[in-house]
Amino acid sequence: MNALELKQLEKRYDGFTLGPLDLTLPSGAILGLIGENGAGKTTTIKLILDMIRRDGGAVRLFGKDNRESFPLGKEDVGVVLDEVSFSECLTAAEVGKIMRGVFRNWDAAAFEGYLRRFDLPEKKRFKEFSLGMKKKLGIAVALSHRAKLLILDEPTGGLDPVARDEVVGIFSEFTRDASRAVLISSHIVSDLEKLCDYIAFLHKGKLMLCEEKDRLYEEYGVLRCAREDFAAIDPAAVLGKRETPYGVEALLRREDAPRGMDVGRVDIEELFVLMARGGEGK
Amino acid sequence: MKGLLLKDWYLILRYQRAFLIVVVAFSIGSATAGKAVSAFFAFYPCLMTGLMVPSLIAYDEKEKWNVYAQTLPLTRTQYVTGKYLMGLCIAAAMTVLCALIMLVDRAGLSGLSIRFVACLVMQALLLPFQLWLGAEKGRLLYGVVAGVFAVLAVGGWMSVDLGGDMPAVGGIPLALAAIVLYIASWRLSVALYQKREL
Repeated sequence: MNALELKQLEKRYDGFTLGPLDLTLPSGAILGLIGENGAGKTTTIKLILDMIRRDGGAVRLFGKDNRESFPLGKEDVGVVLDEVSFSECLTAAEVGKIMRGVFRNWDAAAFEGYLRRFDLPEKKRFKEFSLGMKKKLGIAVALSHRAKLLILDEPTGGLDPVARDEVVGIFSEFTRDASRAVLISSHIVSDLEKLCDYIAFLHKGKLMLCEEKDRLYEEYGVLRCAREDFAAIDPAAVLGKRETPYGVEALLRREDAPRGMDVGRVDIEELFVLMARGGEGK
Repeated sequence: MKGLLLKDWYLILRYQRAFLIVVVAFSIGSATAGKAVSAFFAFYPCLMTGLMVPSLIAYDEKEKWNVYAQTLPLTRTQYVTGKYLMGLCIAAAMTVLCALIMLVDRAGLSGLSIRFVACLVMQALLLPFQLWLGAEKGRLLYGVVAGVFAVLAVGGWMSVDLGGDMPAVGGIPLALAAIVLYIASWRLSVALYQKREL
């Protein structure tokens, strides 16, 4: 079963339209949503959670329309927003007590375990937490009510590299149970590259691609060549390019690469940057 | 819902201790001051308690809890209902406090129900604006209402003999009318809050 399906999802604001988006996240998988600031990642997450009204399309979680399954359906969804928003006067222990009154499946022992694992003090007030500690508390809450789907908006922002690595490991562990899934948006593409099975690129409100990560490596490559060599390539084959002091770096489908030219491996960040540049006019 | 109420209770204990002290002090003062107590003195605790839930909403907005709450298995109706329940509990607690003080002081229960009514009506008027337009505009409206009230009180136009005009038993229909108004306000707030984009 698919954990999440977006069908022709659309949201219109003055001067910005998100979608129509079509996207599928199968159970057991992790999908990374990549996009520049203002691309629509947070809006997409808010639409999935029915926090804002959609102007068209449908959102299905585990086969059910989100509007019909919420609010009970949110028992199955663990969320970390880009800004973790607990009241500043609360302590982590109090957040746990509040959440026990919110979630039917609240697992107090799991929450306490995560507090210890993340080295979060139970009695310290939220306002005294560092940005990283706040994120960790948000993650601890999201993981402590037996959710089947995690929706994470920039969950590793503000974490140091060691903490990021630990958190990425926890998310990866989460999907060992094949009935669970993770949707994660982040600017830290290296985290997504490590973690995700699927990658979706959002650029100016449009989905540029949504593909299995390994397929992206197989399908796309970067050609590094001199300007004169680049001029001989069919412009229609170039998906994006960057000029450097040494020549040109061009993103191509491997099948479109001219014979005899060596197309190198492209990492996800480079793929996104070049595609976004290509989308703005080659 | 239980979690929402618990969260608000923690906020009251942390952020609104000063409110609680002022309410207790003024309640003791007004309940033991005899019949011809100044209306401002008597109703100030009502104004303060009437401000507590709107302040909670302001904190929610400032700390973006109202946005985060939408990610939880809670409806907007539950969020609004939680605030109104808390407002009702606060009004009831203040009334019980005044009643206890009056009984200890053997002052009789005159004017008790009007305090309850004032607290409920204040919230019934403010909360729909707050939940619909946000804390800032709601606070502005509160300032206007409180300002008018203070001017009237300072000018002496509102000095009333609470004992003579408002017997405890006769005030019950008034209290019931306030509860009906409060329920109508709750329904309006639920409808308005559904439409608000956070």
